[in-house]
Amino acid sequence: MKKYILLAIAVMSVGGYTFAQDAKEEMTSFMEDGLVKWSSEDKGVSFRVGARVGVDGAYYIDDVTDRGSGFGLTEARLRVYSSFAENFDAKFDIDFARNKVAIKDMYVRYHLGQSGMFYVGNFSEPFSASSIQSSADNSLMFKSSTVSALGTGRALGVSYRYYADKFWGEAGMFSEKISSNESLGDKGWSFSTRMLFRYTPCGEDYGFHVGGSFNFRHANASGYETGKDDHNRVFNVNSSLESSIDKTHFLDATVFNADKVMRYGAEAIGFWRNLYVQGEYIGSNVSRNKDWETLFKRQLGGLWDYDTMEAFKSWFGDDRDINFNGYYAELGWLIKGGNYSYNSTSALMNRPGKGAFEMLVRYNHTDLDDVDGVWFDGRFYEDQASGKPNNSVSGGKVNSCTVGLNYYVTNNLIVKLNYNYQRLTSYSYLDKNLNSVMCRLFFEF
Amino acid sequence: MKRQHLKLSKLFFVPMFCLGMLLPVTSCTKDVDNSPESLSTEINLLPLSKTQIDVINNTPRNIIIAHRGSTFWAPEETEAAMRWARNAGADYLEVDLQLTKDNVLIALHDDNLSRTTDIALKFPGKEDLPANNFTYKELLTLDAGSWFNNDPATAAQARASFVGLDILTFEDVIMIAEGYRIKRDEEDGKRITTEDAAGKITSYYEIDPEDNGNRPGVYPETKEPWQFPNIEQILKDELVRLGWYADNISDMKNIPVTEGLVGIANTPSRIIVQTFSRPSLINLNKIFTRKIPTCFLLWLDKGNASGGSMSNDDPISYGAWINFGIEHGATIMGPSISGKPNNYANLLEPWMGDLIHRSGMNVHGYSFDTDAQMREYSGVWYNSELGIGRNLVDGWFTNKADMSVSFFANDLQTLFDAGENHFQSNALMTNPKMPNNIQEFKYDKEPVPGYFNSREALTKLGYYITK
Repeated sequence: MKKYILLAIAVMSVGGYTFAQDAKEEMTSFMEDGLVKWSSEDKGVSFRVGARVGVDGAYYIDDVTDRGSGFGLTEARLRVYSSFAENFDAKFDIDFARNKVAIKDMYVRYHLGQSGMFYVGNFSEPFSASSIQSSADNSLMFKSSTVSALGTGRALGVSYRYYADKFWGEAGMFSEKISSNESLGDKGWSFSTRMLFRYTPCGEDYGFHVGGSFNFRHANASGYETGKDDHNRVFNVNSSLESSIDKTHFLDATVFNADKVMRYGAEAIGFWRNLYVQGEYIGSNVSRNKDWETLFKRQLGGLWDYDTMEAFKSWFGDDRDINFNGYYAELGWLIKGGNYSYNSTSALMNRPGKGAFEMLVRYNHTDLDDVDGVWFDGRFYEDQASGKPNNSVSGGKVNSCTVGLNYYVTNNLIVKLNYNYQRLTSYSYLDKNLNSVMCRLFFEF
Repeated sequence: MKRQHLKLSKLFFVPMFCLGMLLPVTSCTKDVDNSPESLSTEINLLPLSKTQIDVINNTPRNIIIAHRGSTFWAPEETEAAMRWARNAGADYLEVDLQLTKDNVLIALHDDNLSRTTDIALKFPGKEDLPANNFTYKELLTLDAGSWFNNDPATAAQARASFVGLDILTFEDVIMIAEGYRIKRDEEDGKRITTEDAAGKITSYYEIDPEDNGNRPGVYPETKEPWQFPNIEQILKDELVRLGWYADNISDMKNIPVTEGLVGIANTPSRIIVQTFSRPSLINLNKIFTRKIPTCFLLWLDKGNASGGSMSNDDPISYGAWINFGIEHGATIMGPSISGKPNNYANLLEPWMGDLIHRSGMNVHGYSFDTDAQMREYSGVWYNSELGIGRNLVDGWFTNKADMSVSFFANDLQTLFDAGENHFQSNALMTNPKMPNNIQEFKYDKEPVPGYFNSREALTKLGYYITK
């Protein structure tokens, strides 16, 4: 699927610039909103180069695991925006933070009048408000653990977004993540959608939306065995618990023999003058499908092998479905700087403007444990006496509370200060109570 | 222009101030570290029961456990190896137990008989089958000694008397510990047996003329119950029959011992059971209604393919196995040690030994084959680097019981006299008044003149030559 998407991007880009051949070739530069831009004289083609930089500091009050406090460059992005052929625009965004190169947004967009747009490229799958929110516009420094673990993120795909006064909806088909290993066999694919009902009267300082999201994904293959790539697809979700510098995955669940992954979510946003509230619930269901034939053949020839498939299946048992879930609720208060506003195109809250001073509180609960067996040394058993394996999955649970203060020095220069407390329950970590104080200096142009 | 500069500097002052405030605190945040030494102190260990504590207090310390009798001097788990180990002064004879098709407890380590017998010749095509595919009568036809003479690793210790050695039963090992030997036909050297109507084979024993008076205990290992169902109950029944276990200590067989020689066979701790298997440990804990010393063995299998071994050698994994042992009646943990010739994973780093000792359990490490290993884990070497009292071991599985006995009897004393040995018996640290513990002050004994000459001993012991 990936090659078709890339082909579509190429066709649309080349097509768009072909239309733009009519424009006069000479480009002129000019200043707008404090930014340098270039445009053809007839405005047929324009573009600008932008950047985003985030410098974080974190101080961890450790429990058992020693997390490395300190500073880091957490965002170092270069991006190009371009609009052309009247209804097209494109974005190409690369991150160099942590001395790694990562492609972020890379899409071409076609605008259908004032109420719709068509995307092709690498961009966020339409699923959950917080999941699609740009990290520049996160209210707190990081998305909640629920969203970082169970959200969808970016993928190569196509989608269509429609928005009107009382309705917002987007749906798309996607291939794999752009950074996934190319040599492990068939890539997964997904269908993703986010639909909302909203009431945001024009000119008023209040409003709300409610809605839900759904994502169906067929997991990527994870390698070949006996000529097949379909024997053990792996689904992994994890979170470093809203942490800036240290990236220990205190929540980390891996589901082997994954087949189909369904994510479903509900969300609500409400705002009234200088207050807003936002909450989401996300659940996931992973169906599993053991390749009994490959597994049975693999064990044959061992000293204590199973002679019959029936005995083999009886001992190891079928893999049941695995379910994870989580939710969060956050409250924002603009202490100084006017009222909150709602972005009807993205169905998200707008970033407050210059001079705003904001306080935020978030409570989060994430549960990546789906357990009905007895845990011992890294795996589950039906019981200790028989040693019969159990197919539970544990990734840990967390309840957390985060408090944040944001100061918008300018529209593009923000200082954030966060404190969070995480109460962890994990089979893999001894830690119980994790505290962090983090700050961020962020600017973009 | 000047005003703009002022405004700009004001803009940047706020974020710079916030970041600056964090600088001093982030430079001194080392309140914990991720080293296993540090993490191991965070492991919560379950408490031992009063019964477990009583058993531990009456388990001899600094004991030498003859691993399979010996794998170095004689074919493992044979009469030659066990008699040698007894005479060499081992405190316990270690034996791996498996069941035959007719439920006879035999001494065999491997999952099949191909390495240590001539089964490929006697039962061609069946050499990869486990022992419980054969009756004891069938197994008695096998030669369990010749392979030793032909194996390049052991050929230097080859001797003609090993040819034709047979597979031992558990009863054979007990009788050797009591000072007997198997009664054999003087003509062909085969053991004398009778067979009853049900096909049960009975062997006979006689006073060992070469017995030097040591009466070691016996240290049997049970395998996975799914391989050998009910093996724990069969073991207990056999011990009761032989007088080596009773619910009341006073009902056990009285075995005469000699002052100054090994005499564990006549103590309540004459049997120490051991297993790698969690299900077997659970069964042992249920079946031995009078608690006896129980060793839970540790083996590292990173990736944990079978689930039967430690998945990792970090404190979480290590602590989980200790707690499992405590929960299911273990009184001793049995980790592997590093070093040639086995090159096992080192599951007895100082923090690991400390963790086990913090639980109150004893440590019996395996396998000590060199003097260097004895020194390393006894604290002689650790002392200079990490402080006094780092003796990590209470019991020493060894293939060279002679070397280990000499280490305690001679080497430690020599080093002590020279002021270079700071070895401390853990028995002294945890239970200084342990009564009648003949092993407690092993290094305080008078040095044994000379060195136990294993070759001479084997020459004396070996009488079984196929004619």
